[in-house]
Amino acid sequence: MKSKVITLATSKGGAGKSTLARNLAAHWFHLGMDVAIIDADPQGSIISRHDANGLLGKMTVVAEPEETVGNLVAELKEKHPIIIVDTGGFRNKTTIRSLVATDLAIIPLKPSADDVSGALETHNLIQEINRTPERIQSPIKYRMILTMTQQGIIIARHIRTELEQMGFLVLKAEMFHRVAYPEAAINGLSPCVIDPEGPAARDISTIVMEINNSL
Amino acid sequence: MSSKQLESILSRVPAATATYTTMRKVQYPQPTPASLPKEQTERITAVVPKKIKDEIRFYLTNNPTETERIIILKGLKLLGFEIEDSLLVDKRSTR
Repeated sequence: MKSKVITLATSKGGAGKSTLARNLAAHWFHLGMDVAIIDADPQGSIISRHDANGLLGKMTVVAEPEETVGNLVAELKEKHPIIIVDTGGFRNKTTIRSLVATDLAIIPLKPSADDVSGALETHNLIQEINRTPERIQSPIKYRMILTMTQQGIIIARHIRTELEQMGFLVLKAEMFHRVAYPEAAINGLSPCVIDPEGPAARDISTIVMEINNSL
Repeated sequence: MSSKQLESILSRVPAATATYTTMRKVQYPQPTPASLPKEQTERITAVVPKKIKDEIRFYLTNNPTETERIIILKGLKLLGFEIEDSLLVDKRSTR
């Protein structure tokens, strides 16, 4: 099986990159897949909360905030079918190197103007990278995803409609605002492993199904 | 080895971390003696047994060029703190 690299990127901080990265990885790990996470965010949200003795302890988590992240991706691809890269919330060389090495870029955005700007900026960056010799033959695929949304809130629907009408690719599934994520994150965990039948785990499962179809 | 186009994109953004190669040594102007700011100080207080306080008094009687402050700083220096020798002088007599 050819391994797949998924990079979470947006130049806006606080959009939910690390939360989504941790939860996607936890979902696949819970299914028995040998998933690896590269924490390429200098903030180190994932690596700092990772508990080697916890429920996700056997999952491979490596911090690599430097430009050499591409080499690490290549190394991990030999052993892991899925590699998830969490990047910093600003334009930087490490994020670009991660995107060059990725199969699918996930661009999370909260329903806010700043997050939309960050997502569009990241989309433009991906298009620019796709014109380089490195990726012109196999352009980086991307999907935007709305995060921290609440059901019945009009602004999220408006933003989705606007983005879709402009031709951007937005996942139908959303990462709804749920306290289960920050609660689990205290111990570096995910609802996917501590409450796999719960609503948050079901949301992640729906997101994963769409991501699988996009890979 | 990256293509020129990719290098061009990379050149427009900063590194994610401040590495040794990306950090530049900042040359701050050296203040002239006249413009040297007055050294900031903080007060420390310690409650010690009376016996020790009496011994300090006795020591200061026999060493009139020293002060309680100098004794404490000398002790800190022995513990490995960086204490300049200029601080081990009683400046009250030079004012």
